[in-house]
Amino acid sequence: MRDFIRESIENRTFILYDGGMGTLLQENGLAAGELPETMAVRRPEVLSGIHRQYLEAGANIILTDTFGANRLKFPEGGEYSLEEIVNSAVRAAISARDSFIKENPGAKAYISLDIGPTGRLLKPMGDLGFEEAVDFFAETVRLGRDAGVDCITIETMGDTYELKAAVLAAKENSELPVFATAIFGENGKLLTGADPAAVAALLEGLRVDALGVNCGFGPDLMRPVIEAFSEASSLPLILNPNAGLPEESTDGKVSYSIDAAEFAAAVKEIAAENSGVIFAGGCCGTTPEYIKALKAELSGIRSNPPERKSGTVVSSGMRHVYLDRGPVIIGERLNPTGKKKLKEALKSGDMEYILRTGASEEEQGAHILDVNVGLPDIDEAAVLSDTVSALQGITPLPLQIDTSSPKAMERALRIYNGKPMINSVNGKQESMDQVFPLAAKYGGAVVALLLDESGIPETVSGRLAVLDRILAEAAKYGIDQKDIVPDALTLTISTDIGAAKITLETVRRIHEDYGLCTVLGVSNISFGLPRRDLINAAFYTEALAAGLSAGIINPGAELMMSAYDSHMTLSGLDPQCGNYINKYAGTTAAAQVTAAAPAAANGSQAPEGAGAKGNLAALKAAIIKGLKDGAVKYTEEALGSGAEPMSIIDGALMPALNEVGEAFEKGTAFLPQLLISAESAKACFSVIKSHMPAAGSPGASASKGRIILATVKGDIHDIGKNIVKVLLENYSYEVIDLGKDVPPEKIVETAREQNIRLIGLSALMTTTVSSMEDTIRAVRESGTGSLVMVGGAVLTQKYADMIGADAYCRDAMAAVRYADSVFGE
Amino acid sequence: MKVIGEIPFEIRRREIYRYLGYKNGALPDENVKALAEECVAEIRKEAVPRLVYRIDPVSFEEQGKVIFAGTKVHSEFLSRNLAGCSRVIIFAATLSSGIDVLLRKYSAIDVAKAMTLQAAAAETIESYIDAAVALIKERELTGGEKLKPRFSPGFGDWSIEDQRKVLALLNAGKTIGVTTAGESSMMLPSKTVTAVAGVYKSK
Repeated sequence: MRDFIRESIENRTFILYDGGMGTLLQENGLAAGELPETMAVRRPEVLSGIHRQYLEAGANIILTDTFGANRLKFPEGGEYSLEEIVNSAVRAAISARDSFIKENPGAKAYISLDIGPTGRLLKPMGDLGFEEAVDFFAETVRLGRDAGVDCITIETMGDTYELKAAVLAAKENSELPVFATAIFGENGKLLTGADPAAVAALLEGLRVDALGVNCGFGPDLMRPVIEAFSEASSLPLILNPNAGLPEESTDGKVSYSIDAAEFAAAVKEIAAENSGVIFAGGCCGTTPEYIKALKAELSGIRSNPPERKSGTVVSSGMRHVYLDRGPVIIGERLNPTGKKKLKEALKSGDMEYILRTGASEEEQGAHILDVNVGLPDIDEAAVLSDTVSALQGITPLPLQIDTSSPKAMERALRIYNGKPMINSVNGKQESMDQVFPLAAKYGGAVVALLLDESGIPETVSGRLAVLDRILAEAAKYGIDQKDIVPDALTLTISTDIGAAKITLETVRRIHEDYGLCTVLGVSNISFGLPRRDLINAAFYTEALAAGLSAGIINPGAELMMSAYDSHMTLSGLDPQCGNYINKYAGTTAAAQVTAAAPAAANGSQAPEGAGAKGNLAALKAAIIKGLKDGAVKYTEEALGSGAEPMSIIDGALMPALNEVGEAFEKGTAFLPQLLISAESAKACFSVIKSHMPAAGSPGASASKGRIILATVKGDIHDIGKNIVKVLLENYSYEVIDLGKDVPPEKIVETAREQNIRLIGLSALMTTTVSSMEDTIRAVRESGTGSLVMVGGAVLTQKYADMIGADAYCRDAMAAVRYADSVFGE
Repeated sequence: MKVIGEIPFEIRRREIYRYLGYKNGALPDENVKALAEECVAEIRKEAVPRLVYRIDPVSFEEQGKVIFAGTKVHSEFLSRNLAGCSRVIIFAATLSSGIDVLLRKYSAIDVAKAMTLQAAAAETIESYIDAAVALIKERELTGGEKLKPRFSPGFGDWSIEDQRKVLALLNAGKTIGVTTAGESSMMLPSKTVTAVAGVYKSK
């Protein structure tokens, strides 16, 4: 079949898909509420008849009646087996095709296995696991493959993550051509937020044979989507619109707004105007009549072959980022090298700290986040994939998967929702043998370190020679050179005074002679020098001027960001200097700030002589008002002037929290104020903690008790639980947060293993209160003797009593009070 | 079945404050107000509100059985709510999964903001629905026809499980990207509302 596609492109003809199936099945006796896929078993001759009509109308590809044929809709032991459904559907298509070919020898007619979405959302948006989804699709693919289909069409996908699961399943279980189309909304994006360029990046990375759009609306509204695909993708495109928009008559019958002639004319126009449109057909509301009209229209014009695009692009499930349309910033903060707090967070599984770091990089202006969790004593593969998973649930930014472990890399690439940056490959044969097969399978823009077995070449030409070898090796895997992003390597200027010049010249040569994007870890340059920020910013500026596409920098470093912003303005990439003015108007030069700082510090130290260490009254007031930055500043000053951590906690943090807590209980303060104060106090605790010695710290011994918190099974709301967690932690409880949708067994097991006296359960829906009841029963039966407090929007004291809880907590403060009573305060 | 996308609508600050617990004239301080403004701005940027609806004849059977679009639901409350109506607008509306990304993010890193965002998103979906329903009224109702207040599964004795039936009638997975989590009736994206509103002739 791939020959047929190639010939069609070369001969500038079109490949026609068939049209809608549902309406025709209904006209032939499918009742409302019946699954269309069952027709293959019950009335195969009807199905064959419809396929035959489409072939006669001119379709080259007919889709089997398997849109919803998956294990979720046809579970084991159901009325119809999945095997039966897929086999009968493929048989019906084969019989139509064979009889048609017999009468029309030489006609091009192929059978495509049709795969639609599962109808469930994948985690973290929903509750279906990624690998579960892959398994569901894989089962259908294997059945279709064995039954003899010629290709696989994955269609009507509204979520890039599910699209990836389906394509992987198709690729891993067959050698057949794979076509993938998505359904877009009227805003030109998927319902989960991805635009055509992001969808194309993902699908090209996964190496589908063609991609495009189907369903949703008629050809006119699809035009912008096809235009965007045509601009972004080098692959043949598929255009399968509906027959316009559905219109319902008063008796409930659905008809569509445009007829066959209008449909065909509109599709023809789009195909004529956009490069790459090779496949065309119909979706809902279209019939053999539409395909016949389309065939007639399209035979009057020549198709435009797809054009190769040179842009380097990466994507997430929500957006795409080009590396060659102005420089981008890769945030470097999620890398434990030299970062004590991140190391601790990774070891203790403190995902909150990691997410907070990523979210602040996003806020500071990073376009891509580097994710590196490499520590000697952790299970890197597990931690990296968990971290990638959690990050892609909270940020729309594409990620750079940064690891030297092929195992960790594969696991992370597999579950990544989009086309990532891959950091990295180098010129060593072993490295290329490990990384390129993964990049070829999952897609990605690969960072290529210009070093090899004999180390880092000292000359520009030496580094470029390594690049040549890397590009040649990548080509063997079919990896386009636009997806190789060389790292010219930043060496330390203090040990080699010529280092920067070599690096910058290499960047310039790659940019100008190879036309490739480049990446650079910038801050290595200044190791061993004073005021590293100055050298870093200057080097970054020079690298940008040399053509650097992506600097791996700390987006929280003011000088680096101002270097970037200034470069954007100077190189004409910031129209009317708009962003620059917006960001810097009214700010003060860094030099003036540093000059002013000692004076301010002296001022605040003044009362020290009077006996008080730090301004605890001001700290307390800042927490009560919820002024986080101010509170952190006062805490740092207090610590800096030698105040004992415990004296700050007892003298300011606890009194402030108590005051707000009591005001909340009296009804004079409200929950948002309580939480803002709690968050401020939390930030102060975290500053204090970092000043305490790690082992045997007073912080650790000060824990009043350990409490499990969990949102019960079936419930994925967790804000309520997190509110309780913040407050309990403020009040010095150690919280073991089991997350949301937690099965009773896990809670019982944790309680037993860690000898937990108090468990807090949250449920937000009436339907999940029963799951809370199950959990309480399981706790009782386990004999751990743990007490259970419950809370959540739908709960009442009465409900709590009914399901056997030890305490009902109407709000987070009530949970603190109950914990105090349990742990004997 | 028709889909309404983005239309102009106001996000009422007072309602956000009310969701946050400020009632009986109590007003938040500047700090909380500023937080609410931040949340509104982020919602305006990320939300892709959509509403899908259909209009069908409604009929009634004994004991609170209500029938529309070939679907039978059981609720005395709904039956009373729709008394005197000949047609119903059946709809589902969502703010899209982008809002869930924000909620997840702040739930993990800043609960004060997460809670404020929840409140702001709840108000946003309500006001969006008000605006969309006003548009439907203008488009679909004839002179002399009026609308009853909307009624959702989970109100009174109308089982929340019937959300699934409403979503199925609207083909909501495909039309606006709304599904339920597995066998439960929890809708995804989380800021989603399903409801019916009766159409009656005023005298």
